[in-house]
Amino acid sequence: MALIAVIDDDPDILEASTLILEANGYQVITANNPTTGYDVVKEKNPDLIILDVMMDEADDGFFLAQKFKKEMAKIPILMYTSISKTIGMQFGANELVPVDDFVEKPISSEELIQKVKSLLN
Amino acid sequence: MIKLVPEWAHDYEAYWNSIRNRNIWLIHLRYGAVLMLALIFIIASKVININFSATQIDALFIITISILIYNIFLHFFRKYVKCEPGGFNPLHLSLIQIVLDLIALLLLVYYTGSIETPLYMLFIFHMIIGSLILPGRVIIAIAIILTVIFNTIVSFEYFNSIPHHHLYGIHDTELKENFNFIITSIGLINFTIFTTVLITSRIAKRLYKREQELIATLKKLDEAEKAKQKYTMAVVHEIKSPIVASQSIIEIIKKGYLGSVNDKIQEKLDRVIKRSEEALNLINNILRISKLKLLDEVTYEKVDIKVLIYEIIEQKIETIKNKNIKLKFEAENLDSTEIDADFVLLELVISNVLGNAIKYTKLNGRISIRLEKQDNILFLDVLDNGIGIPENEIKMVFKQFYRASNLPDKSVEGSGLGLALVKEIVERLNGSINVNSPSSIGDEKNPGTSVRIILPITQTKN
Repeated sequence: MALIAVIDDDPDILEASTLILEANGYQVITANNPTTGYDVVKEKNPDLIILDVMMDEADDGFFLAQKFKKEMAKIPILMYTSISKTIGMQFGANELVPVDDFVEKPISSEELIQKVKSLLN
Repeated sequence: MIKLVPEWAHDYEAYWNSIRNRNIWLIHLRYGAVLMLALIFIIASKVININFSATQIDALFIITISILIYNIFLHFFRKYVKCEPGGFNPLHLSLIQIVLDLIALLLLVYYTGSIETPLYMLFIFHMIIGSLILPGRVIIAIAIILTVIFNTIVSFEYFNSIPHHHLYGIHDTELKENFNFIITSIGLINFTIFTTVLITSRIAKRLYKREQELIATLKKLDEAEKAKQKYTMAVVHEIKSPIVASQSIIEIIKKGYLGSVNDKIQEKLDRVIKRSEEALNLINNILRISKLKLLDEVTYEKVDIKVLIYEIIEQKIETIKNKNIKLKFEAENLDSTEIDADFVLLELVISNVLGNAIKYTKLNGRISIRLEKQDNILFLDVLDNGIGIPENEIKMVFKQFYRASNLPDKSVEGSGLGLALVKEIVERLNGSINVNSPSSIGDEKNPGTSVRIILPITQTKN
């Protein structure tokens, strides 16, 4: 069973994600800030990381993603974002935003599961 | 190299622009001066019978021609002067011009009788121009050198150390040895030169400084506007988070992750989602406007507008079908529908305009989309036979938060931000937008609205 780490500072987003992922047969660990998130990932070595773009500070998510990619390059990262589409930011898998895919908030269960599946394969 | 740039000049671009403009103005003025000189000598010798000696005629001719020659040289040379505070710059060119002019004028004055000639009045004129162009300390130094040279010439002539060129026809006798005349004239000339320089350079400096201050203020205003927009974005993002979280929770309830949900609750949940989406749309529009104002540049790529319109229709097909709207899209006679645009921005524009048409058209209504091309211009018309806009309110549709007074009831969702955003974007893409009501497919009961968006097909690069 694949283990997924969800890192987001919004408890409701964490709960919703956990419910959806667990119902689809994944094991979920959560963290509500970048520091705990980093520790949890280090300790449990999950198969996938789901990370929010913005936590307390505007770039928290990006910095954390960069750190993960540097130290644990093999774990795919899926990023939650609520502004990318709105303001037309062109996100891509590049050096600036080192993540593998994005999920737009509010979370749609179908989209989340589909992206998780494709990243885990 | 003498550093001529004053300490207070911060915005070099604006500063150099003023200096360069004044330089070219001075060069143009000098061509006029050459003409004037020629005219003065013709009038002086032919009309008022001043008798120039052979030496005087030669000297005046050579001086006038010299002025013309160095002016032509300056005219071409100025194009190659670079605006570098440390190197040879337009200010040095100004200095050279003033010095050359003063040498020419001193020679003119000398050959027309020094203290006897009315031409020394022109010293004042040169001092004013010099004060307008050169820094105060430089023009004061020039004024000192000028008066010293002029006073020396007059003194030498008084003591017969150098030849005097009397101007026959103005004064009957030579005045170069009239002590009282010399003292009063030269005293007054010196005094006038210095007061003119002091007053004019003070005023000129104040003007330059004011110009710099204005530019600095404009920059500050611009920064303040950007800071405000950033703040708006941050605030709006904060508002968005709880809505997004609530919607995510509703999603898991609706999808049955917390147990089965009956139809009645399902229906209410749909309504909750719909209402919170209105808030999200409003927030998204504010974010978009802020982003537009934050960014000064638009990135252009080739966008096939026809394909884009089909995609947007596809996104909205559900509502179109639900309202049984007859939608017509005409672009068949166009060979290519690619234009230079920012894909995301253009999508926002068309999505907003088509969204409005659908929203304000009644059941079984009609919408017609037309694409036309003419030279480098693309016309996109979106017509409907919906409720239309009251005639006296058409001008207001582009105002933020404006909503027409003829909305049937509050059930038609909207924030009144859409068209304000559309206009902002279209103008950013170097295009324009017109809204008219009634439209050509409307009738008395359903006047309808027509929106025409005009966009350049290729963006000219600057």
